[in-house]
Amino acid sequence: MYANRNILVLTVPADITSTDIAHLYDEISSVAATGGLQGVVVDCSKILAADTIQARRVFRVAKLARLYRLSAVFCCIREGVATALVELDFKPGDVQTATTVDQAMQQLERPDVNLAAS
Amino acid sequence: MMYVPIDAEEDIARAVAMTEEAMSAEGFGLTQRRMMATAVSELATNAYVHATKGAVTIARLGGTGGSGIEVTVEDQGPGIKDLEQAMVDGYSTAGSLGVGLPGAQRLADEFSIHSTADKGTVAVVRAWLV
Amino acid sequence: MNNITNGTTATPVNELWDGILLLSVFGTIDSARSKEMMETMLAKVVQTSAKVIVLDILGVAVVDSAVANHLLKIGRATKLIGADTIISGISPEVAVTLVELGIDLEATITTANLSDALQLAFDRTGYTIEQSK
Repeated sequence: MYANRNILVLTVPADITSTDIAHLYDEISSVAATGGLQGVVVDCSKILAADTIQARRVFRVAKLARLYRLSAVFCCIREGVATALVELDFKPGDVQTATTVDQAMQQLERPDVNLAAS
Repeated sequence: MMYVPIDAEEDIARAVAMTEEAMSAEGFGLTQRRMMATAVSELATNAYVHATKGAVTIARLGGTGGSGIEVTVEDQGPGIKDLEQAMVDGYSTAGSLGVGLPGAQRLADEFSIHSTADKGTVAVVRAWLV
Repeated sequence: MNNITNGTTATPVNELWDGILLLSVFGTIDSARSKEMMETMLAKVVQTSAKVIVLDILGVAVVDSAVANHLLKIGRATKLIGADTIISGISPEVAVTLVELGIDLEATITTANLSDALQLAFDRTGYTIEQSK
């Protein structure tokens, strides 16, 4: 976990327990408290499998970020994870996603280029 | 009269194409053809998903009221337990969108459905040329 | 004709522009076809780091609720891995049928034609098209 260009990059651990997510919440809250934070990137590359409960747990991070007026971009979700979630009828809704950490950062730096908002 | 047995998923597309063709020959416009073809697709998919096989019969309707097309979709599957509920939008037992039956009803000019437990389901849709 | 049974894809995904993919679909979309489309698209998105996928369905004869469900699933899967899907080529007949069927395409972005989809895709990827004098 590191902060770069005022963007906090967090990595979701493979197991996605509620304790793991609580750690991510703490991290966001403490960094947000210091001010100057532009957004949060949530790197999901470590996740090899996820059920819908775990997926919802991960995406709730965006809700917490929003409380601090921060956008969250989820990135590096693996193809197999995505297909499995969709087969389980999981609906990602209006979350922001990106293929790579770099792209996620770019997206946070250019919030105007958001198709969902147009 | 045309008869298409539904034994595999690709047979649905065949029944749909034949419905379009028959309607085209009758002089139906594109929108009405698409709507009816989609209704047939919904019903044939239902038969295939719930009964694994079924049959589609396409017939011309003539008479004083004008000409039309009637498509009958039948299967010998388990039947629909609660037909009233199955006609409500969003109700699905197969992980689909659950608009199939009520959607087919809206797309056709006339719609009727009969289902008997363990005997099967027969759905009839009609489109009239006005 | 390609030999579609021999592992060759029947639905090629084209890299239309930097970050923009195009998949034109013709004929029928059954569950096998949709699965293949999803796999091809996801792989291509990862490979090219695409931001937008334009899925043109003008050549799809019938869009019933099963097809709509397949399209929604493809849209959700690509969204999860980081790309937005625009469905273009919604003909007037298909539009009427979708409304009458009662299908809710959720947050899916749809356009009547390919050029509107392309315009949106350029906006999304930060490109501006200009006519030279």
